[in-house]
Amino acid sequence: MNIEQIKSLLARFYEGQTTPEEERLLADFFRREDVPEDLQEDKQLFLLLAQTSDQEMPQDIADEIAAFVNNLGKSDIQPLTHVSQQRKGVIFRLKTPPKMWYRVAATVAILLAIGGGMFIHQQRTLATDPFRDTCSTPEEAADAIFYANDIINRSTAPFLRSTMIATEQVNDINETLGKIQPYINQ
Amino acid sequence: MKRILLVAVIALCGIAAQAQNKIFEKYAKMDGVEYVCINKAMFSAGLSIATGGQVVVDEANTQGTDLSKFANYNRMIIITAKGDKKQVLYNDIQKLAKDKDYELLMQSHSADGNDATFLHNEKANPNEFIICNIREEDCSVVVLLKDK
Repeated sequence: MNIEQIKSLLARFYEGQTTPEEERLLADFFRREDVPEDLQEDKQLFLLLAQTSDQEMPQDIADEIAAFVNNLGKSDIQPLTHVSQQRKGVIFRLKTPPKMWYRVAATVAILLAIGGGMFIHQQRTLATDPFRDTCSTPEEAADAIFYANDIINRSTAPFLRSTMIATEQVNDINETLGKIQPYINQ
Repeated sequence: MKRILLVAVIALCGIAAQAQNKIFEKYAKMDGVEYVCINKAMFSAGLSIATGGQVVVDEANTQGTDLSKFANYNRMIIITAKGDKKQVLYNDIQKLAKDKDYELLMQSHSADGNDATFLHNEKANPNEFIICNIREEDCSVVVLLKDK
């Protein structure tokens, strides 16, 4: 495309009459290094608009821009000389960011993560609880009780033997005392 | 600030209450250690199968043993450690014997290496009774408990 065609497209762009294909042609032209000096300002403006065209703008700012554009012809503010008309009306898409939904989603995600973590921790704790039953049947429990009884018997056996020995010795002493008692009482 | 302190105190009480059970908890998960825990319902069922007035004669002595002595308790833990874990378990019981909450009732040492220790938890749980027996093959601990 030659420069005259570019300028014609540019004028139509500012009037909001270009098609997306024509806007792509303009974007490709302005991305080149050899843009003429008199189109440098248009290049900067066009590339800036192309970058921000998909971003969402708050309603109040969009209204201010629209008012400014509408008042261009009524005030001392002069438009750019190579632009015949500015497009009137809203340029940018208006959309309120769904901040509330983000908060709700974040809260739900955090609650699910905490709840899931607690559930997993509880399951692991139950599985490794040292005070849960290890016997699955009463018969197993009965065998364990007999085993414990053997341990207790082994442990008490030395005391029982000592007790038996001491009892025998006491009996011997009593028997001896019984024999000498008549002589003591005399 | 007061609420934070109150929550911290309550949390610490919970932690302290669990501390004395740690000595048995670690053996529940230890390799090379046999760990048996019988809680109330299973203990009652097992005891009714095992006793009923039966007399069991132990091979170590000629005196008959009546299992009805277990009727005073309703929970039991049995820990048996062999090999290198044997001494670890025995040392833990000896530490418990020196604990101020535990009373050393009896301790015996025999020529054949069959040593026994009897402990009673007077302060935290008067219904807890611990018997530890160590011999050449293994070290066994029986913890008799009675829940209210």
